[in-house]
Amino acid sequence: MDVFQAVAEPNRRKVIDLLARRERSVQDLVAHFDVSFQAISQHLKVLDQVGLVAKRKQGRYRMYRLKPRRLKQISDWVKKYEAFWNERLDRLGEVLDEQS
Amino acid sequence: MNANIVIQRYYPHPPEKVWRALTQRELLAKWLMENDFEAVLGRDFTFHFCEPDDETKSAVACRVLEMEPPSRLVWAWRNEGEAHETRVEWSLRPENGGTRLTLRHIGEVSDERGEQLEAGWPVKLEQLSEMLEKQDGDA
Repeated sequence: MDVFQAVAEPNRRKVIDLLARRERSVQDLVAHFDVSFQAISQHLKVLDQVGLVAKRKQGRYRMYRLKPRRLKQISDWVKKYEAFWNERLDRLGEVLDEQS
Repeated sequence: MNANIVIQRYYPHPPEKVWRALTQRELLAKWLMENDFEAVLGRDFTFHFCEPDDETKSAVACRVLEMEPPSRLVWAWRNEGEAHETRVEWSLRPENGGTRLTLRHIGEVSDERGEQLEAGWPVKLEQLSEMLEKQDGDA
């Protein structure tokens, strides 16, 4: 799964939103949802796999925090290439028109 | 971690003609960059360009990964100075006498400076949402 698929799911996006404010335990997160502990745990696993969250142990709790730097890196990459390709594809259209 | 962009365009020209613009050296140079492209599977080629803001010359090291004229073309793409090779996929589909061109650029976003800096970064969720809405729109 890539990062886009990971954040496309509404509950995962809500998890990101909650973690954007502060580090939280799984229990803390579950309290904000109508879904099971297992479901949230699974969502966190996915977010961890794509590198959007980090976890650490605190006593018996697993604490999760967001890794916003990743979001910024992706956003920067997308912006850079989107601008580049849009400009070039405009030019491709002009080149094609000239060939007729 | 992967990032990707998808851009679709419609050109009122048949796929064969768009294919030529994607695979002929002198046509590629007109809209993309100076190059030594050859339409041969597995062949390495290079795009050269000048950064618009200064005189710096830069290069993109590429390779032909897939080629099915006139419908599919895939390049490996690595900008000079970047650690990761990315993937540029072109797909051409006939539509109303013209061509629906889809560009998909899939990249690896590296994390060179490590994660200890993470905590100090402002969250850019609105940027992410914007980006995702665009993705949804393109899909």
